[in-house]
Amino acid sequence: MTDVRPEPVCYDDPALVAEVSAFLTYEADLLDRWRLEEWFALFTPDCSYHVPTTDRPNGDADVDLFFIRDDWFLLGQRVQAILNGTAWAESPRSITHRLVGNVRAAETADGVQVRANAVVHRSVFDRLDVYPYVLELLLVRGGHAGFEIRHRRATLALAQLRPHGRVSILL
Amino acid sequence: MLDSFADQSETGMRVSGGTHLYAARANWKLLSENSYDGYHALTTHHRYLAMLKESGKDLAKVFASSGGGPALAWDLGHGHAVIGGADGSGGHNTGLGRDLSDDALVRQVARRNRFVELYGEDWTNRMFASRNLVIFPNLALVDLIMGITIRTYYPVSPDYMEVTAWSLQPGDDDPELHRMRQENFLTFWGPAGLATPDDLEALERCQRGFAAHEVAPWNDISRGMVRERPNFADELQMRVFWREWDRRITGTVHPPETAVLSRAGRAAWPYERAGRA
Repeated sequence: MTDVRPEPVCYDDPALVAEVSAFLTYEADLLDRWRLEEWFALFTPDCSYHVPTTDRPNGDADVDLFFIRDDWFLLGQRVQAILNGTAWAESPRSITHRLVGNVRAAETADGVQVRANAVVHRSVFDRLDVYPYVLELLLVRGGHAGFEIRHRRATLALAQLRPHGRVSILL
Repeated sequence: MLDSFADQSETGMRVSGGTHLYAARANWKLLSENSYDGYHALTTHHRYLAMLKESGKDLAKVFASSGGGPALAWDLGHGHAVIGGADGSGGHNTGLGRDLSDDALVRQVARRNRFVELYGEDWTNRMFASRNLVIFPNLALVDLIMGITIRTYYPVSPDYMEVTAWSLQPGDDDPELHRMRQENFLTFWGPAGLATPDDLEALERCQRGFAAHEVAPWNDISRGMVRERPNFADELQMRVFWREWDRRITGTVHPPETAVLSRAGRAAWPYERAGRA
């Protein structure tokens, strides 16, 4: 008879998970409070910020169509427009409310690889949209918050961007 | 007309993997209007232009017709219409997005020169300028030089539409040029671009405004109606759409665009490509 006993589970280092969770909570709080310049300051100059399409969640940003493939400059412009009120979809600002959990973290040669589940509720006028997503980050140690973000990928756990119609907030 | 999209590659154009499946809480016809509206860029897309300026792009050059001829609107018949310019920069004006790297620009200009050999100068200058085409009633092809989108949209209810959009690219681009096209495409297009979400917001606010139709029953799209030759920032293209829509829905045959007809003949797309039949 085949042995169906599972392999022993190796959980992530609890201390690292706790450290990363505190960072994720901090940056989610900055986003919900619209302290976006402080949030943007968490990114390294060589950063990338990617959001793949819903029908190709494992896509390659150099080849496939994405929703967002920002570098530091474009992310900075995105942040500035939200703050100065010229991103019309966020003028007036929406109310956002984030939860981050299921945090996984591992030290690698490149930095700390993070994977977490996130959900943000966005409310503006008479509409409420919910954005569930998987957040994957590559963090490097440094900066005022203990970590800086070198790569951020938010993969929507949605089959379509409907009825939302847009990602006008930061994921 | 479609040849001016298809001719941009000798091996065929290719739709990139990945689809923008999004929506807007607005009537679907507003997206037809928006897809070839030449007038809203400075206000609706303020943040996009601010980004270009901040990137070091020379906006005066982008908006200059660069000697290629004025940007105009054309009635293609049966409700179809296009607005478009003509490049006069020899392919150096790459329109949408940040400037190309020097290397990528050399390759882009080389592509352009090859197309001049194949199709002639006039056709190539059309291909290397922007074109916003709406195929009546709900299919748009918009070429903003470094980023072509195909999008179609369907009403689910009078005030909600579903939009599906793709990125169309030359199949024979080298990886660097392809990467820059994707980047330039995404700076503008799509539900998380630095432009499309602002279009959607504008359409949705128009839709909210239309709730007041009993006291404000008209939406004025008369711009350019008495101009001898309507340009890209006029509204000839919208009137072409609405005449055909009204003809199909109510059977009303509206009088044609008299100013254009009497002075310049029917404003048809005048460009033919040379070479390949």
